[in-house]
Amino acid sequence: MSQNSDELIPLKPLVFHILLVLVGGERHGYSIVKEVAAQTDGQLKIEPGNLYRTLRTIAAQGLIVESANRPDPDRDDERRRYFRVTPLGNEVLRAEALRMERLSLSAKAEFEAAGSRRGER
Amino acid sequence: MIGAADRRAARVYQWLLLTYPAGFRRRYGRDMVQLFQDRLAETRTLGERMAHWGRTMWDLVSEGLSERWLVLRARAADGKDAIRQAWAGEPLGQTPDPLWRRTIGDMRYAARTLRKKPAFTVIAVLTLALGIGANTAMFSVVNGVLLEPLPFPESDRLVFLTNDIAISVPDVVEWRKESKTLEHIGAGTRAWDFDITGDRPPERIVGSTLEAQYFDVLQARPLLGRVFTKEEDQVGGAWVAVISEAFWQRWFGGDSAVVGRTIILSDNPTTIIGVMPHAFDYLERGVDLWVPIAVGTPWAPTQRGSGHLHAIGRLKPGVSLETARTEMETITTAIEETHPRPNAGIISHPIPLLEYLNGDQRLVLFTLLGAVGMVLLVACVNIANLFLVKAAARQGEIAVRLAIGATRITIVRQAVAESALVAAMGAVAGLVLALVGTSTLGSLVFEGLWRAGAIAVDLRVLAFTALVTVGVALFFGLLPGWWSARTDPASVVHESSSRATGTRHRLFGTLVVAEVALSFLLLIGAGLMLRSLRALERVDPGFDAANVLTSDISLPPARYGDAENQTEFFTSVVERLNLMPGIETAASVIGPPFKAGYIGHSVIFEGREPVTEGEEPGARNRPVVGDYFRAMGIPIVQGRAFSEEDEAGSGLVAIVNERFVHEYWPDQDPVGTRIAWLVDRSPRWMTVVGVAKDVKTYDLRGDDSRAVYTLYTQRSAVWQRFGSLIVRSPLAPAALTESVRQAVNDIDPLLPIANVATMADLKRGSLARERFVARLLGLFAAVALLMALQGVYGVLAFAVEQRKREIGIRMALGAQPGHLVRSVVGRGVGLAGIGVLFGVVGAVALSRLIVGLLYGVSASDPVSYLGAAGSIALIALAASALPALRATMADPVRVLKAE
Repeated sequence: MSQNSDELIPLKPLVFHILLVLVGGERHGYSIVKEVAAQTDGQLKIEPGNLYRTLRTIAAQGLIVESANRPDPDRDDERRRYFRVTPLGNEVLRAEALRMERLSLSAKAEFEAAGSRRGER
Repeated sequence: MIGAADRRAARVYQWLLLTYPAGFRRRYGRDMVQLFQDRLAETRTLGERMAHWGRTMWDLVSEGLSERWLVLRARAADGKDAIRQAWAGEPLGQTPDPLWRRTIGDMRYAARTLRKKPAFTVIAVLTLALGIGANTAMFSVVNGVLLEPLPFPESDRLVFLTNDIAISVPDVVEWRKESKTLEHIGAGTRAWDFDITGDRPPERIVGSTLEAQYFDVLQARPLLGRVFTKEEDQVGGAWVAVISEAFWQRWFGGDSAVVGRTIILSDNPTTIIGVMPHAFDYLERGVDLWVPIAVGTPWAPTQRGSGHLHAIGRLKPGVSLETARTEMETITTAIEETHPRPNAGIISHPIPLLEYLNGDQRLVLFTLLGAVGMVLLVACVNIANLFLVKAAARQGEIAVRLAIGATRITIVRQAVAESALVAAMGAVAGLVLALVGTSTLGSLVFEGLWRAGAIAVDLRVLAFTALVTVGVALFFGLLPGWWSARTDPASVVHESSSRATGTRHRLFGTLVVAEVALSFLLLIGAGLMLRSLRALERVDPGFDAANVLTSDISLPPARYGDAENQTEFFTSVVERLNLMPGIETAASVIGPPFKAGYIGHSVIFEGREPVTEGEEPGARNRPVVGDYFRAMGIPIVQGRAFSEEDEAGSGLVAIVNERFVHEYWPDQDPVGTRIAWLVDRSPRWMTVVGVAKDVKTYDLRGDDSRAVYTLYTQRSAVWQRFGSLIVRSPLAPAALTESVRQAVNDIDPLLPIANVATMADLKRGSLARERFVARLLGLFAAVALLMALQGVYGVLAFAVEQRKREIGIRMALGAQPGHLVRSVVGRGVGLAGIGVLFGVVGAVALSRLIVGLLYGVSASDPVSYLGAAGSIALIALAASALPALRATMADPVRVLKAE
């Protein structure tokens, strides 16, 4: 799936958070859910259907790859499917972060300008 | 650690993943179940769990259906490549399909609307869920128990051959010779106790002895090894046994090398030759093993009239039940003529085996099924009502939207989307309820049912109930669009109370009346069952059930072959128990109340003309050791109880019960007369020294049989080597189990005690079925009543809302609030009243069907009727109160201004 990273931006918030979590290394579904919840102070709760459909979509877009099933070393249980971010995913995430940074900078500038205008009056 | 409840929840979730297309499920299903489980494990309180399920439901419906839609669309477009494209979020083809986009839009709009009306959404989804779930669960149980065929090849050809009088092996041998309609016939004993001893503590297990032919009848194949042959079924033959799958697991841990091993069965070394699957234990659940009838019960093959047997047969292909019945009646009548005495009245009337096994469960289950069907009707009516009210309420809004340019098709589409979404959520919630309900019903409350194992969710019923309720939701969900298509927007916008609402009010009224009538019916059913239960609980069993512990003993014949050591055992155990601290009185008896197993004999009376041979009256014999009457709390109403002098003396004594006196000495003092058992070749006359009060024998419904209490020490039969220990204590009787075991094992360390239970528990247990039916009917009635409450409320609230303008004007003109309240409440109570009238008619017609389940209360019990009517009146008042209040609070100025 060769897609230009520009076409995928802006990312949906959920996709952004998932990619951000995966930059730290390979993870399975539950670990993604927990990590995203931690990142967002529990604001973003991901349900199974939503998660796996999103993962499927971004895997098809080439942002992540699924690795073979294997058990979680910390948890004595069944094998799980792991997800890893691709170079393209990394690039897209970086581009999105950059976009958001620019956005927030320009927003900040707007606020400051508005504040100083109010101050003049 | 994952608990059983969580595992069950995960299984339910796995089922629910059916909302996703198969491909997606294959790829991610397992991971999703794991994730679901992990999330569930995080929840701690019930509230958190409910919230978790709620979010899961939403996720399942929205994501699952979106995914299905995606795949469908892509498949319709271009095939596999398109699916991959769709997955990657790329647009399909050049022009995006407008219908697909629009549908998503409609769904989003519908979801927003529903979220704004949480009360409506929750009630509608719950109602749908109840209708689907409760019905599926109940029908699955009925289907599993009553209708599903037995797990044997061509099981419709299996028949039960004996009526309720016991038959003997010589009879069966003759049947087998004579019958031309039956392919195979086999006989066996009912539950027969064995003690198993060896390297573990001794244990009493339940066995049964069978003819080798029994296996041919059922055509049951062993899991391991083989079944026994006719050659092995010989008196004096070596002990062999076929064990049950459950016993194999329990005792041998499912060891596949079990065949050929030896166990000690009531002191006989016994070789295990095979393992039978669970299904073979169809007659009395919990049988651990089967032994050839001539080996395990050597008296059986020769004695006629020995009893304790049952027989089954397999019809030849193409032979009708009628033909077999005629033939068997001829054969058994002929045997009756050749052997008049033992075979008097033993005529075989074959009935299908399944029918025999179901017995009186049928009435219970069909009653419950009828009740749950009514709940389904109420649910449908309620859903119709909900959507109608909502549709009518939104007429104004729709008219406005039409007026400002919305097309009718848009409005209709949105209405459909909304009801489809509600229906889908209701269906999913119903599925959950069906799964949970079926397993709960099947395992928890139905423990008394013989075939609880055959219960599984019935997919056809699930589909049917889902179709009906969802259909109703969709149909009535369409109404707003339909109405709007027929009404002129201008008239609705101008006139908020149009003429069209008149017919609608009548429609609402009819629905509410139907709901109330059905709820009334269910209330009557629940009331009658509850009153029967109370009546049964008040029945005096004839003994004092509090503080009594019972346990069963069966002495192995090898070590207790003669009467002396049997007597020695029981007297010393009772003696020992009587000396133990915390025990008030101990005794033993054969055939205590609420336990199976009894001795029945024919009686002869001294000084009376002998009656025709074979027509001697019968009575139960209850041999006792120790002061049984005190231990059990059975009053002696005349004469005296047994004394120690009786035990020591040589004169034989007996105590009869009231029923015995009533039937045989209706106007004579029985004390001092002498009776004897017919079985003893020369009469051993026993002097009647007292009369004991009747006790309930099997359950609280039936009366006591004629009974004669005798002293165990004075018995003549060596085979009476079993009995129940009865211990009365001021302490909690269950705490004495160890003391009893101690006392028994001090005398014989190899002897197990079995069936330890308090008398109070046995008494309570005998009402399990009544309690279950009453509870379930009560639950159904409560659900229906809640729906009726909601129905009445919805209609009245809507009427008040519609008449706001009129009410405002009337208030402005000086109408009294009391008058308004009366008019609203009056309408609510009036509708309920009409419903009750219909309900009474229905109840009078239907309650006759459940007369068989009632006790001490007539089907037209006024208390139940008044109670039901009272409940309806209460909920009608409650449902009217809020709308009435709202009517009086209408501010005339604001209402009129709003126009």
